[in-house]
Amino acid sequence: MLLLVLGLAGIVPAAIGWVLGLIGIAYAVSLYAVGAPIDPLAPAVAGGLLLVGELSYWSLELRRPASGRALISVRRALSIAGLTAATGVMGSLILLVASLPLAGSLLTTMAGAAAALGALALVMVLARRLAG
Amino acid sequence: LWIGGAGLLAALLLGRPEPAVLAAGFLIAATAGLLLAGRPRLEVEVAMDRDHVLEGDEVTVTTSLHAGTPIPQVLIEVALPPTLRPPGGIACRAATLRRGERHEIPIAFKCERWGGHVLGEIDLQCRDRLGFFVSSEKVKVRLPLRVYPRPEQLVELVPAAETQVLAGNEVSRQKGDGIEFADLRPFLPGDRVRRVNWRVSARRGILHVNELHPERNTDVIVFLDTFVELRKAGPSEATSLDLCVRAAAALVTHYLARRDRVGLVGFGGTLRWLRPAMGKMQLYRLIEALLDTEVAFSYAWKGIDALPRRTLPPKSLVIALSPLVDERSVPALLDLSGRGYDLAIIEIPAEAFAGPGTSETDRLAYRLWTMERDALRDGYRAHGVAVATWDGGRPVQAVLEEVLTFRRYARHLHA
Repeated sequence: MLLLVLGLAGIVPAAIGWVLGLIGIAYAVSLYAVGAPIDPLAPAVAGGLLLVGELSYWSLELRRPASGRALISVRRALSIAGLTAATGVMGSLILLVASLPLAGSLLTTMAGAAAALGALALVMVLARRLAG
Repeated sequence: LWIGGAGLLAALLLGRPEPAVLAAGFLIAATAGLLLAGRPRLEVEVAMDRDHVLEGDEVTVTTSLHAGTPIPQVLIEVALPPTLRPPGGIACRAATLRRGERHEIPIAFKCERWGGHVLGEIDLQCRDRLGFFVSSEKVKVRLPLRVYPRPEQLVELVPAAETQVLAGNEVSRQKGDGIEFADLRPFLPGDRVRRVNWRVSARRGILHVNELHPERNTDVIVFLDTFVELRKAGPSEATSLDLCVRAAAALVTHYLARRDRVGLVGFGGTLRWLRPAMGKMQLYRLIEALLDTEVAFSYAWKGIDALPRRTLPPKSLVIALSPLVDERSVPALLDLSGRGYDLAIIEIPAEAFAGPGTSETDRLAYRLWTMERDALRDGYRAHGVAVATWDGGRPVQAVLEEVLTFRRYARHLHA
């Protein structure tokens, strides 16, 4: 909480990312330690976490006062809402796939790892394209 | 991205889907941000509507933007000197540009203090739709702006004790060709017939002629004490130099309007002067010189001997604008008076910039200091020099009236 306050106050803006990471770790560890079944609220948690991050960084941007921002703010708010909704939908799909009665094997684990690496690689390729 | 990566890794290690769900949101956001982002291409032109304004006027800087790519958010901020303020306090504007769109963004600001400025930088910041990527650029421009002091209306000026030889608006004490009646005297060979006062001549039995006062101009030197600048706490308060320059601008404008020759002496760490002259060109020269007035710190001891002789012509009226604080300007003014210059002092009172302290000792010191300052003013008055104080709270004309009253009173005493 203190880290989030430091981040929002603009003293350590990078602290916002760390706060989101720590909240995510705390959530995952709590589920693993208890050995709870699949949490159906996970998509909502994911959406909420993304919303906190987006709104936090947006509030940092708004620290620089500027006029003529009304329309831009509306578009930004709609974009954030869209992202949050997409997170919810994607999270629900992941949970749906995870709840399918499939037998776990090395093959499925490798396929999952490959999918994870593929997702990260896609993002990296896009980032490199923008940088180039 | 690292949160997304860590989430996926945690999902694999823990064998639970929830970390992957958390990671999905951040990966979706990163992918969307990267897909929507692009290098912004923007052409910028900057123009200002005026480059000469009066204090208190508004100036508009218009930034013309031509977007080569769509830019969801662009922030434009003009780097302004502290004396130029945007009316709402915000000098930053935001806009959205489509590809190929031309957009003009006017930013108005108020000129709160006289002076010369150069607007040299426009800060541009482009963001993508999600605000993930920021592209900043500082556009160098060179927009000079001269802010002139707002002129005050003066009805009556302080007349010089003695006039010069050129024609002007001041009635001379000498006798000669003019309009104002001065005296009567018996007719002498060579007198013009049209000067004969027939009524008096008939009554006295011999011819009498009228003597007249000619209208002449005067030499006026505005003496600006720039050794020190007194200021109150707070950025918007006028300093003693601000008040000096405002009063000086009003005086030079009105003296030049009545065909007097006006000069300027900036007596301070840096000596600056303008020889007396008349006309519109001189007005521009004087105002430009006033705009460049600043306090230059110096320990060097200076007297009026340091000034070129032609800067202070004989029989000129010297109007000194000074807070009478610096130990170099106080004796210099007395020196001027001792050398026979017709001197009047408009004092910017230092008391307006300093208050008594909170402790008993501070208050006692303040009282002693104010008594010292009263004694200083009385010293000038004892030398026949008019001293009037002006703290900016009333018109300059009221101060000139004080000077006029003192000079009238002093003349009666002298008579």
